[in-house]
Amino acid sequence: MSSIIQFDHVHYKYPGDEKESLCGISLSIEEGSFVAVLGRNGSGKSSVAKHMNAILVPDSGKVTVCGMDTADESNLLKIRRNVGMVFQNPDNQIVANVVEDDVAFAPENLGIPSAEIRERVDSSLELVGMLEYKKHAPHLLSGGQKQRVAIAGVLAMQPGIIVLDEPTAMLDPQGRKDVISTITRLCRENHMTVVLITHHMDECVNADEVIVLSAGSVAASGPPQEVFSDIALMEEQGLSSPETVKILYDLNREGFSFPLTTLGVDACAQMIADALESR
Amino acid sequence: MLKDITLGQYFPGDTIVHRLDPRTKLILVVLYIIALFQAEGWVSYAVVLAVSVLCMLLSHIRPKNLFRGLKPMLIIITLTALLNIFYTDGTPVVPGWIITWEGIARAVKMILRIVLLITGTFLLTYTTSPIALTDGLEMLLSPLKKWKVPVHEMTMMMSMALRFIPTLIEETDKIMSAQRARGADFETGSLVRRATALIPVLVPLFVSSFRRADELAVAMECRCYHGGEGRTRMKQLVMSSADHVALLLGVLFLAGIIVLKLLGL
Amino acid sequence: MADIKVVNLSHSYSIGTPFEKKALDNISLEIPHGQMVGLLGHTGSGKSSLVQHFNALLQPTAGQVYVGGVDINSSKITRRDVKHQVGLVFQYPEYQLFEETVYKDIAFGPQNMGLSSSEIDERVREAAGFAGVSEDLFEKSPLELSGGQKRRIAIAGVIAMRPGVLILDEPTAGLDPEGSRLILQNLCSYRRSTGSTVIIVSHNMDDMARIAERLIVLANAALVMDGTPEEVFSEPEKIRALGLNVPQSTQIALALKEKGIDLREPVFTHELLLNAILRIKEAAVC
Repeated sequence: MSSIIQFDHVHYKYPGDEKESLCGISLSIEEGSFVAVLGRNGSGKSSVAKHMNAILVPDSGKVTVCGMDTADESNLLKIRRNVGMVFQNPDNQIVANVVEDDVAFAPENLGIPSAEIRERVDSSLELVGMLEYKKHAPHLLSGGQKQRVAIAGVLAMQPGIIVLDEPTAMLDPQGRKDVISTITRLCRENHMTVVLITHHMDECVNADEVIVLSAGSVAASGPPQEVFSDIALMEEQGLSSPETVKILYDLNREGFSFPLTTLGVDACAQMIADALESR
Repeated sequence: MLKDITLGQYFPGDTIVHRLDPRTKLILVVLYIIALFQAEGWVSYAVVLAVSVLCMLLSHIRPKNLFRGLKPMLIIITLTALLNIFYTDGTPVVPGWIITWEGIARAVKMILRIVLLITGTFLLTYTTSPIALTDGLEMLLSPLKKWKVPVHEMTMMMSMALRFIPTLIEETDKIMSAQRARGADFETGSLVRRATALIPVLVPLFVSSFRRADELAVAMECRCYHGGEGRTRMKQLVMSSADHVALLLGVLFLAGIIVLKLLGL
Repeated sequence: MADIKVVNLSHSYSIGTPFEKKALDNISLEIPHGQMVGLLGHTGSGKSSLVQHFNALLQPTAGQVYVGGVDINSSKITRRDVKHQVGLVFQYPEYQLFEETVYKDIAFGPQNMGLSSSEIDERVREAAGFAGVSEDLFEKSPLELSGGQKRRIAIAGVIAMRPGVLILDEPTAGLDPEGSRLILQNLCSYRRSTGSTVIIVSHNMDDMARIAERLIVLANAALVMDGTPEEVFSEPEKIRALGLNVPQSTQIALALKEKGIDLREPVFTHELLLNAILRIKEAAVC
């Protein structure tokens, strides 16, 4: 395993802002891992995402993606085709009137031959489970479907990394589930590196690593079990641990002694059941 | 509801007309419009009418859809017809009347001309997807690139505008409902009052359009958009023999109308 | 008193076209004044259509809607007046702000009601307080503010009409957990101080189970469940069968039941789950 994205003491301030949105942040993302980035609004999550494909470049410090410095203009296209980016509002990232034409947009920009674009479009739509909708008009799809089309749109660049900036914020529970299972599959089966920015804790349960941002720097990072079990930290960051952790935590205060590293509902219930039966 | 507006809507299908190359259809529409304006006599009008009816049948477009598209033009059509009826000199229908036989003939021709003009352009937009249309336009106009005309950028903007029309219509609907819920009234009052009542709709619509444009631009950059240079196409436009035949027929049609004109028919 | 009564309400979209779709199918219900109601269901279940009938933004295809005993669709005037009685906050209401200042935007509704400027001023300040909008923001442009602040301003804009019934469609959509919690807190205290009816349309079972007194569940345009959270969550399997999520605490309770530990009472909040488990522990000790 090697680090595929590296932030080195990155500072960034939006033009016209008084406060820095990133204050010397350093982090590293492993190739092929599923990383969730959490934090309250204004913690710098989106700025981090935009640094990952050189939409923003650091005021000072350095961001390296696949060994390339994002501040070097000559790397721009190479970085962007390697880091697919999906945003919150699916309506504002779909450019064409027909699903398949939209997915073709990126490979067309890259100057790929027609026949290969066709293949890429079909295989990308297949990966997100939207192949049967390829002739549909995007504005008639549901939010979750649109967002999966947007994911297919970046997959068609065949990137190694996909960064999603709150992709589920505008979706209903079904749409959220579909999007999260799609990106989990991309990571586990297609070995892509996935960076998911979110404030829904339940979406991070399957992540390899969780990074909690606060005021432009890293407040905590580690496997989700570890981070979520620090209930005080989660509260302080305006986040809330999953109910499974919270209930075990409160039961511990009543005389139980559960480890707080269980995130699954079933495993949590099993532990409580075992403890109750042994009495 | 705003959603019901047909604005150059595309009806997907698989007819001969649908399958023609968009470039062919664009050229044919131009030929058709020239022919329409060359038509003077009744025979010429009859030929143009017959040709457009034939194309409609071939494309399986229901007349109902066509009439729905014509509806908004009704006022203009009636107005021109009335003007022609009342302001043409000639033999009065009844002695002493202002209405003349010539006026009626001219009014009928005027109506025919407008309706046929709209029919022709509608046939194009009904049978050609907006993307194909802008692609075709870009390729037809591409010789202009030599003179630094930004053909790609212009057609890109066009297709983007087409893409966002439904989104913006939906948004307008939503904002109007929201302001109605706050007691805004769009239906009553004088014209000035009704115009000012639209401010609470137009301002948010503008603001959100700019936000959308901003986000869209970033999303396009993320997908490696860097202008038309070095761009390829998934759907290559290929002229088939059907296109060549159609173009030939189009030229013959125009030539025929011109001959009829010279013959005074 | 703005009691809502809905009798055999049906609504279809695009009638007479191939796209005709039934959004509401013969729904009858009564919401007495002062209730805190959570309206739940899938996207497309008819939730949004239903609440738009409560203030006559949509008119029934069949059936009647009464607010305070008046058939709101009986005339143009009742249709207009009901909008002052029943305030509706749409999804992402921040996108409807349009005035130059926060103050003017909140005042838009009361102004449309034709109130005096002193009355308007009183209402704007009161509404801002309820929605958690600081008066320091009054002279700012709504466009410069954060998403959460804009949302509060939009909510204040509706509260300022002093509606007897306040309806909010997904008021916490897209906000972070902290922002969501604060908005719900404000809504609860608004209801406590004014005694108005508050109806929240939501996907979030956890939130609704916690704050609502009554839950109404729609599925496929029909009303399928209606009752107190205790009643509704006494059949968690039924909610799951409808394809809806149950609160996380209910999920744990269901898993415990599968493992042979029946908590015996409906569980839908953290506290209920904790207490139920502790009770079983005590019982085991005795």
